[in-house]
Amino acid sequence: MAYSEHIPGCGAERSLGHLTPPSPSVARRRPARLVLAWLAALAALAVFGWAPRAHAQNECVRCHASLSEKRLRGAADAWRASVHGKDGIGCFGCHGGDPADPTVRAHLAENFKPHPTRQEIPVVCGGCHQDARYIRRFNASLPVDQLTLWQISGHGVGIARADSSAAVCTDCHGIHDILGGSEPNSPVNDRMVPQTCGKCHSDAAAMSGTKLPTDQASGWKRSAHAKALAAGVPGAPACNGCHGGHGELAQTAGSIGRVCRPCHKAEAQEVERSPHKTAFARLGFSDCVPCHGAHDVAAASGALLVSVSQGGACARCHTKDEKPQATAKLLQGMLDDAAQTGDEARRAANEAAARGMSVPGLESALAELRTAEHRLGPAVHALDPSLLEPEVTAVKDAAGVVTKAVAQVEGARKTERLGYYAATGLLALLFGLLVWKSVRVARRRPA
Amino acid sequence: MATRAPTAQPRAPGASGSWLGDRTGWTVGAARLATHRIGPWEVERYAAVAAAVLMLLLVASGIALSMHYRPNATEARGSVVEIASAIPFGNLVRGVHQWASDLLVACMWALCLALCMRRLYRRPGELVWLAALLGLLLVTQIAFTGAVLPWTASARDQARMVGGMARSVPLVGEGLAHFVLGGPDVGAATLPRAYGFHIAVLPAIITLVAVAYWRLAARMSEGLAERRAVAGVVPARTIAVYPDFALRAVAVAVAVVLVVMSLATFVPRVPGMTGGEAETPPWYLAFFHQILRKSPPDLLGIPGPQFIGGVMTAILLVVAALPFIDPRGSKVTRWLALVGLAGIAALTVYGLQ
Amino acid sequence: MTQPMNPQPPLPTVLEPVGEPAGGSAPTRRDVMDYAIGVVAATAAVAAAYPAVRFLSPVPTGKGGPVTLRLADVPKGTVTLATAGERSVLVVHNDEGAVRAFSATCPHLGCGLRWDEDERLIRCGCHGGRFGMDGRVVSGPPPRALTELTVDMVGDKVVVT
Repeated sequence: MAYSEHIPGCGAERSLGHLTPPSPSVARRRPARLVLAWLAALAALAVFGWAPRAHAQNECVRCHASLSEKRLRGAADAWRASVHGKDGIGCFGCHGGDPADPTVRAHLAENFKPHPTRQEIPVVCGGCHQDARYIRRFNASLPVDQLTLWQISGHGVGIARADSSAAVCTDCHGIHDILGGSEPNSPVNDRMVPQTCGKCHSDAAAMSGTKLPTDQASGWKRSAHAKALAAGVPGAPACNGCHGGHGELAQTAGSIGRVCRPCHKAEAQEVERSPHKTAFARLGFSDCVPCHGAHDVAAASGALLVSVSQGGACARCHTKDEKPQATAKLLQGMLDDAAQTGDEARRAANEAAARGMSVPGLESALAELRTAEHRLGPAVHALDPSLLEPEVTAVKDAAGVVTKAVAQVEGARKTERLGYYAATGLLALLFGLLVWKSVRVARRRPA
Repeated sequence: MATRAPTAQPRAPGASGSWLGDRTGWTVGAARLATHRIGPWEVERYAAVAAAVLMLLLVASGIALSMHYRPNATEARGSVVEIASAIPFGNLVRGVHQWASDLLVACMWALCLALCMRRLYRRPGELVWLAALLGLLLVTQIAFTGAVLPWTASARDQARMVGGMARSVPLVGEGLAHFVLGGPDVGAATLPRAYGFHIAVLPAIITLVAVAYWRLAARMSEGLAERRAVAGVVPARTIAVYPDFALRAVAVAVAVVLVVMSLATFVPRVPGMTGGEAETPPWYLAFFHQILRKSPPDLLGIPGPQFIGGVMTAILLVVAALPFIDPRGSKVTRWLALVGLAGIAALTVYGLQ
Repeated sequence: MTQPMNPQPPLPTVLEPVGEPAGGSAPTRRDVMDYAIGVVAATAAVAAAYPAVRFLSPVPTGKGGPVTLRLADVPKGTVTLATAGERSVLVVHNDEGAVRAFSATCPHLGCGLRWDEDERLIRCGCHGGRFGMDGRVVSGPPPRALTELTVDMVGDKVVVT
């Protein structure tokens, strides 16, 4: 099939096949109508003095843009600014009709579909977007699996069950004003995603038909992920980071741990060594959520290991057994110890900087400290004090290097002060001698 | 005053009698200095001695700083931070340079005030007065160009404020601002310009003015003594220039070094933060900035800054012409000077808050 | 020295009127005082020279100073971490014998990097980013390759600037 013949309609003929009979070319099939259309166009030209347009084939946009009713004009305006408008992908692909007909008769085509139903929308969009060969002509790196992924998502399953409240393409991407995901104002841009998902998922009324909670977005906003995203950490996840771009992961991931793992590799490795590995598998728990929570993932710290009343997680399950509690306490002590040592070293460095001292080698020593501290996180996941010990030692060593460097400079500063006092003493002595001498000279020879 | 004394001849009275003097003709004239007597507490002399010592300190520390400073927009700040931190005694040298510069500006104000209060601008001191005023202006300029050199945000802000002050001068304001900033606004051209002025142009001019001042002041002192002798006026108490005043001058010099060193050690200056907060002008320009800031946009049909710049220029011209306006040295002048100074001090304090 | 800007010639060093004898056989109190003043002033001047010399002497290891190490410390086919002052650099001696150097700061979040002999890759301790001997990202979150630094061979020494 030669796509160049009908770019505006793209492959929609096929995907709309169940709606309209396949039509390789509108013009070829209905010569009578075409003649009529041209006659009408000529008449219009004669009456209004309109100049023939270059995009004669998209008469829909030309006409709609001139309408006074905002609902009808808005669609054309929005389309023009959209990624589809910029690539010249016209109305026909989604709405059918006859884009070559400049009169109201364009709407009389059998395939004309003013309002594709919610069931139809994914099929319409997918018609082009899962056609790899077609999509490559416009955006060589755009994936073509959106429809497939959506179909296995909660949204897709809902639509398949004839639950028309489940989200379809247009609910997240917009309708006529669709922008590429890399556009900052696109509703599917990373920074907009939480708002876009939250539009329904934070709305108790919208979610009333489901068993889903509505606190995911607010939970996420408190999470370490949200903070990291706000701080510009590359790869920090908004909703789509864990649930998949088209919501596919929530339904299909073997366990949530499988979702966390690709980013939190080092932690996942250590979890393999932890006693929880087999216990969680036996109890059917997911790997990460029992301790870290789901949407409101907290920045991990030693506090996570203590009792629930103090914001910890261990005691949620280990209510009576003493040994795990003792281990948790021990691990927490070690982490707190490491954190305190690191903080003290940093404070010493900051104080030195505030007093205008520069410590040679401080930056690399602080980078080493930061690295050592980062390694504590993964190491604690084995929940084995003997495995955490060397990492704590590494932090203390790195902190020691920082403190030592600062102390050295402070020592030098003290020596400098001693030099100052010596010089001051000397000059004060000189001053005294000069004053004395001047007084004596004045006395010897009164004016 | 200098007498060439060939080495072969026996020492004649008034000949140098020193190895160097014999060869150069430069003589100390110590005997003459010993007979020339001056008042015991002539403030302008001590201010001048202090200014000279501060200039020496500035030249020495400035040369040292120039060995480590890199005068281009990308490296300037880094090199200043490096001087303040990584280089041994860098903080001390920087501190000495900055404090000495601040004290020098203060010293020049004190010198001008002393000349005014002691009515020394009168005949034969007209040129002394002009040299002192010129010195104050130049010292203010060199201090400002130095404040630009760290090229921090606040240094650039200060440059912008000074550009605004220059712009307010009537007639030549726009051209003056261009000349000071190296363009219509603070930009990459401002830094090399400030550097050139700071280390070459202004030091050369200031040295000339300082030498002129010392010569003129010495001549004025002798002239006044002659006049007193003719009139038969015998001052109540005097001291010899040598050794009495010389000893005091050395003591003042030591005290100045002591003060600068202590300030540099105990009140470190963060690079580029000469005025403390950003948006604060250098303290010696704060009064002018404060007036400009509070000026209404329009005064008597003239834009506010231009009006104020015009008034300030007029005041400066009147002050410079003081010896000719008030050749007798009236009490009114001294009262006006005190009131003016109090106003400037108040505006400075207000402007820095 | 006391009145540097004075057009008058410098004062004589002995602070006594010319023509008066500087002292007889026994030192007077005045002589002792002059002597003391001279000694203190000279000491102060000499003491001032110390910070001046220290300030003007070149800084051995400063920020951005070169990192020097012996080539023998970087066997062929390995990577060595070297530090000087503020800087940590990775010196790579690759299998072809070429010596290259990279900043030892991870371009992801600024953690320190280490050579992992088992994997034969440069590895970030924080998030497991890995780089090849050519500094390029092999796996993990780092957004770009390591920053390459200039290497000079001076005799048997590697100088990284």
